[in-house]
Amino acid sequence: MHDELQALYQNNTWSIVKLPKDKHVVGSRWLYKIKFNSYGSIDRYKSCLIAQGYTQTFSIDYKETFAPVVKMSIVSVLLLVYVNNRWLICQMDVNNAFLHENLEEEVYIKFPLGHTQSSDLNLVCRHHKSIYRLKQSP
Amino acid sequence: MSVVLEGGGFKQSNVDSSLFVNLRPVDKVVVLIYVDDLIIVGNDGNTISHLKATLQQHFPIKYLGSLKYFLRIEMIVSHKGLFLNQCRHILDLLKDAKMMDV
Repeated sequence: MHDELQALYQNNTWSIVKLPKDKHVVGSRWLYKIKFNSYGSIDRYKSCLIAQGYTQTFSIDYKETFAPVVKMSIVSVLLLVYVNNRWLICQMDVNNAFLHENLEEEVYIKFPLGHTQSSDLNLVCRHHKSIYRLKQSP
Repeated sequence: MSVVLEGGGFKQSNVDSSLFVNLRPVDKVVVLIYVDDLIIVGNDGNTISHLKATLQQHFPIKYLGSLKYFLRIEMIVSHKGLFLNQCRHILDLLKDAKMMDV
């Protein structure tokens, strides 16, 4: 949970603002997962902050949903090109992928639990980057 | 991500928005993005490692080496070509459904 908050801070995910009167605030909560290693013992505890995106309204809170998925045929063609030309191939993995996408709309989200400044109820986080389960997130 | 790639001379494909292509006369590189997974295919090792370094400057990226497991497909590179199988995915599914011993 500490790591996740740290990553959120580092990416300037949100800024703390007073909620404008006509704006809607989206809830947030922590999702906890226990990761097991291949022997079945506990590897590490993982937590991630998710938005309760089902409370967002179309055209007010978001204009379009987004899914950067790839067509299977594209993958096949790419592999074919690779094999036939004897090129090089490698794979990479981005940590906290969503946090690098900038949000276009104004999205206000409640303070995550455990956040140090969550005592003042009028303050919310205005998000600049998307997090899991926002309507704007894949 | 797309901004960084386009800054490096890549063009977003019309066919699929997650495909980025950079075809120069000598070195050709294609990058495929699937949410947080990337595949880089190219004919020049130096260009690929250069691209890798550029990306690592901008994002926290883990380099996973040669292609092994992508989109639930296990891939084994051999001199004859590429061997694909979904054995691992099937085992994972069975494990999730608690049907391993059935």
